[in-house]
Amino acid sequence: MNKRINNLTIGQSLFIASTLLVGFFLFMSTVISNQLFFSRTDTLIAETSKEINKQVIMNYENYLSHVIEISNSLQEYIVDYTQKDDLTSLVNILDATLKIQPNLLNIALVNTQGSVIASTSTKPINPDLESTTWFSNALKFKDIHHFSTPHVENLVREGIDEVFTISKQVQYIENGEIKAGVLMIDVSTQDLKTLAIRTNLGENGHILITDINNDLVYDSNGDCEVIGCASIETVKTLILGGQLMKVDGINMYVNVSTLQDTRWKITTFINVDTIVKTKTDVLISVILIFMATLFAIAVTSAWLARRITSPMSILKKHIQRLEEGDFEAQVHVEGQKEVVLLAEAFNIMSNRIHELMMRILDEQNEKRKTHFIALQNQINPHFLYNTLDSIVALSENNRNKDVENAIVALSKFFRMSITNDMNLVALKEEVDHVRHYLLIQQIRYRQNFEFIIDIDERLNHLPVIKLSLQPLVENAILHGIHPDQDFTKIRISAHVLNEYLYVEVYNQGFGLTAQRIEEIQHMIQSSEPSDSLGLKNVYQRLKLYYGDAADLLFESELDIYTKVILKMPIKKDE
Amino acid sequence: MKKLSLILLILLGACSNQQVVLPLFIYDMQDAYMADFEENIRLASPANLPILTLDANGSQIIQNEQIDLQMKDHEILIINPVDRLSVFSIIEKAKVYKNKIIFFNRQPLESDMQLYDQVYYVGADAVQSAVLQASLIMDLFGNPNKLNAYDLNQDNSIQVVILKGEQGHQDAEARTEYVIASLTDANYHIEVLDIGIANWDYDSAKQQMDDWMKQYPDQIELVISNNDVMALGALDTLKEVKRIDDVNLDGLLDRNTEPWLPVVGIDGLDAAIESMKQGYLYGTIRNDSIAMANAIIELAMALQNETSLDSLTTPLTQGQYIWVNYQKLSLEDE
Repeated sequence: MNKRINNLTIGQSLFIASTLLVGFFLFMSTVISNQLFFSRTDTLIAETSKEINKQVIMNYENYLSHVIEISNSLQEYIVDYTQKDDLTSLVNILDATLKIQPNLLNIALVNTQGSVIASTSTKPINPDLESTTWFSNALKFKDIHHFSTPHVENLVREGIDEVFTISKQVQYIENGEIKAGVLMIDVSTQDLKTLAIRTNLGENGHILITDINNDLVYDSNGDCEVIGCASIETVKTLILGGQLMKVDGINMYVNVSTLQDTRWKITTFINVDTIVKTKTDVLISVILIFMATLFAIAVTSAWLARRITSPMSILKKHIQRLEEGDFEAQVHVEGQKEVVLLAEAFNIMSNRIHELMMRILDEQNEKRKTHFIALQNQINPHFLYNTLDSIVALSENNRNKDVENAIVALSKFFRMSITNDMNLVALKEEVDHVRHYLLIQQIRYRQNFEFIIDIDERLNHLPVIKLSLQPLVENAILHGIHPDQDFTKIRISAHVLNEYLYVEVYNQGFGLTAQRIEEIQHMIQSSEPSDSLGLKNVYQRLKLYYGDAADLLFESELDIYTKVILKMPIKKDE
Repeated sequence: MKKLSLILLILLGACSNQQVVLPLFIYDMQDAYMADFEENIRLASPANLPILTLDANGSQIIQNEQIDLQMKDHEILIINPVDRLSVFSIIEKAKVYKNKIIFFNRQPLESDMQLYDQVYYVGADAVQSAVLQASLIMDLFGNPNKLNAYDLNQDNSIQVVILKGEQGHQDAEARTEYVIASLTDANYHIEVLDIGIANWDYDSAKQQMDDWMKQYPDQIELVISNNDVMALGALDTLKEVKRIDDVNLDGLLDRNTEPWLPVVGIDGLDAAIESMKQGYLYGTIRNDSIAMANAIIELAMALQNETSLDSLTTPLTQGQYIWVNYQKLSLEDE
């Protein structure tokens, strides 16, 4: 697991981290806000539906309790008037009640045998009242009002109106004796409908009233006229209480309640489809927004990652080329500022490496050349033969002291040339080397020149490039000594000025024109091969070792002198 | 991942932290008698089974909602129904959710009680209250064949007005019917001047008494009330018209020397007992809500712990009913 995480590229980690992080918080906030929204919506649906439901039930209860109140009042009158045996007044009261309450169609007092004692009806009475449920129920359970299911009025023989009957066992007095009877009131079902119409339960919303056996009393939709419809099944399963459910594909809040005093159940089907659908719509759009945002973040982070990593992979390829030794190539990237700066710095670095490598290469080359020259000098047969010839001549002249000096100088000169592999030597050593060389040349040229070495002892320790002075001196002898002239002077001196060490080789002689000096300078600076190998070699090594600070200078006056000056910084920079 | 599930656990824990309580549904806490009753039930319940009282404010719709909410979480429900005729649907629902229900104070129809064997009713028999009320009256009037001085016109018949609770109300009907029946059975001759419906209510009773004092200014020898509240209403009218009068203003009524008319109630409310002690109210029948509360809690505990119902203090009759006795209360009985 860890290994896999460590192996990821910047791009992948950036992508994964940002997507995960944003995805997580987005997910959490989406879930939380949805939970809040949905639970609130559900509560709202339940609350609102219950409130509507309450309103509906209160309307019905008020209406029905009103009928019960009428029944209760009539019971008092029944006792009062039957006690006085005043049935005419009782019928008048019943008639008056019907006039005040147009929704009541019949009121009657029936004895336990099913014969009418007092009634509002003028039509012929149904001879078989005992078979009606309102009658039998009232006799069976005496304390309560019974509410029948709707039926065509059956108090009279040829009823036409649809009614439900409220019946109750009551007491009346017959011949001073308390007797049981049944009070029945037929109520038109019209008012149940009117009450339903008054309530707005939304499209397809409806009211269902069922009795204790789940038989239909009233259905405001009219769908349930046939026994057993879906709505009644809903009531059977719910029994009591409210629930959000789908009825015929529509989201309904169904609330089953009881109607006080009636032993009826009333069920309201309230259409909440719009709210529920809005909920679904919100859910879908929230999920869409969530997905879109996640996608946008994934794309953005992938793009960002690419912007960072693609220049880096260019850089990587470039480093590989560098590994293979291609220092010339320059890298060009576009992208984040940091990466561009990195690439620039990288270019500078590779250039610098290249430069340093080239310099080391050149130094090595020059060194090899120097050694080659030195070696050449060592084995230069003319130099050696001439010197040896001169020594022989000295010996013939019995100048033994000079012979000794010449041989010692020759020996020291060669030793210096061969040994010491170092680049730098002390000024004193270099000067001693030149001194031996001059001594030998003096012998060869039979004292045709004289030399002066004028160097302050305090400068002896300063470092100079090895074998840098000898070529200058050789040059001075070559160009200063003229066979026609008897005598030439060569002077070697050194001084320090402004942190630079100047070593001068002066010789009397023809001198150089300014043009010639320019030519020489051009020659030593150019990379083309030339005959004056010595000077050029010294110049190149000076430049290689010290850089631009060092120089080889020429000074001359025609027919008088020539002066070559080595200019070196005392402290090498870098 | 672990942290996430921990958070979820805490959230779930906070949601499902449900203490076992006994939901108690009262039809209306405005009813002084029920408020008293509720307090007695709370006092009777043990500390580990606290009562959660839900007031229906006299609406069966509200009570249905409350019951529907609690049914899922609580096995045992104690219900004082608003509409005793509506409880059939509560019982049907309890059968589905396997709840056990103790009804009290308002008795469901017998046919409804038979729908499910895990419903119980704790109450007092209204007939018994009427019989005891009749007994109180007999104590006052003495020998039925030769009534004492409280038979004001000495016709050996008691002229009575009755304050009836509610037309068609089970208790009101029973109390009215059996108080007369018991007296008649004991050979008392009763003349019912009028029965007034006062809906268990103080103001209606006071108004009704006012009407009667105009209609029968001198005839009334006894006022029988279906409950104490109406009795107290009637008493206040009688005091206003000086039919009952604390002439010497000593705060106590002397029935022998000061004007007095017997009024009997039922319930044994504190105010009624107070009035009785001052000499105004003749007597009342204690509908013993403390004994009933204890019986309810004892039954609830037995159902909760699933222990035998055979050893209850007040025995179970017909497997579903607990009848708590009424008690006679009068100065003579004190």
